[in-house]
Amino acid sequence: MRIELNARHKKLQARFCEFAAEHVAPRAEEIDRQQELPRELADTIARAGYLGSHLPREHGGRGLDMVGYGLLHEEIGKACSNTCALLTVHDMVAEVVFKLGGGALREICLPKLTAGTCLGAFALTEPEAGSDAGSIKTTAIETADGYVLNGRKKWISFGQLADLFLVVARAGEDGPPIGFLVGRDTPGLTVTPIKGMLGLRGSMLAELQFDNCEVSADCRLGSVRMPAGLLIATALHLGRYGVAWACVAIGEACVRESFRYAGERFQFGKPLEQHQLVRRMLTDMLTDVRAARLLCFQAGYLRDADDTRAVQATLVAKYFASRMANRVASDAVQIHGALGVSGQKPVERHFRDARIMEIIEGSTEIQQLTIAKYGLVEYRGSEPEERP
Amino acid sequence: MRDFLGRSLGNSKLLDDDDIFKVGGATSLFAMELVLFIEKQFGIALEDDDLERANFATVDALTALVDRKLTP
Repeated sequence: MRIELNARHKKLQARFCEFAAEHVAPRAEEIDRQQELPRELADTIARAGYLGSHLPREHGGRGLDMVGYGLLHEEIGKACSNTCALLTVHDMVAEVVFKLGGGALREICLPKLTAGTCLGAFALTEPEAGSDAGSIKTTAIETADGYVLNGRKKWISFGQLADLFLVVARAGEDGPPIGFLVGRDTPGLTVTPIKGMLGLRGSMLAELQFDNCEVSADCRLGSVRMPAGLLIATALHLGRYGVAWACVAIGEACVRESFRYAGERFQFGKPLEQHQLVRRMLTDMLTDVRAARLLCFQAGYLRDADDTRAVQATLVAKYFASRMANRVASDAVQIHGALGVSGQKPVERHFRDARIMEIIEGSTEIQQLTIAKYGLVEYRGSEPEERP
Repeated sequence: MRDFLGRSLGNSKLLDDDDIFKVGGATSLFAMELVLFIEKQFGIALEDDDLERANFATVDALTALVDRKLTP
């Protein structure tokens, strides 16, 4: 067993790194400060072939395997977590269209999604339905011509920028969740920006209001006959993977900044790196990031092998990596002292961005419940019945 | 199929006509794992029309689905 990138992956990684350094890193601070990711940056990313990059070439993607896909997320994410988030969110829409959309929908939408002429956003969360996605209230009532959507979605990443929303709504008043592709300009849809988030400030969140919003039946993804929640699970399975790598990116960026600063900053007559307690922090940070990266590689490898264990591996990777990002970013701020909380160093932004990672794409607590269930089945043979 | 379901759900007493979503403890995450398992184990590609709950609900239904897909 060799745990090492092959030549192709190393070449891809170098290319991604070069792209991020040229096009993304110089904009990261501005994106965070302005709370806006410029459309022309999204266009640049699209022209490079980095939107829907995991999709097969015949559908406009680059056919990146999951390890390569992860490396793309890490290199972009090291430069800017917001730009990385764009890849994650947009690709979740592309993934669902690819896996669950009908032939016609794939043919129409995938070329636009991969070319970036259409940016996607995933609209699941509601004011009263976050972790409890099963309790969404937005409804899709069938009519002679299609469906009518009513309801509200909130905290929708890139809702301010997206051209196309994958909206998860309940079929009928009380049916299972199904998906709809809804264009930004659809009558009955109102998009309201959300500003002032703690982290991932450039992810341009929005609230969506659907008031008798009519959509054609052709825009439906999935069906009421599908296993309930399969559409949501399909989207989040990819999103979680992207977020796990985004966390590795934050961790790695923090480690690099911290090792550099520890060599430059002198206290008590010597650089910070020669103080033992700082060394301990640096060691923990470095080890933590590498452990997270290995979990991500394992998830990627299992995904590429179409192994059913990929689902659990992705949960574990996201869970560990998101907590790691917070630990490492916190230590990075600590090492930087007053500079770390001043906004003059990127670690301050990484610290705020890391905080979001434990909430999105399945909160830490949801991961803990879900992963424990896998463990109970694996180590105890079954999940014990819950006692009242 | 029975072996995979029993092992994954931690339910060795699952009968062939038991609804795995009702009595077996299957979730939407597991539905995704099931799709992966079927496609890889049997070398078939499931289409949108195949992804109906009725096709996944029991061991019998899953077996029938695979048989249909393998039959030219």
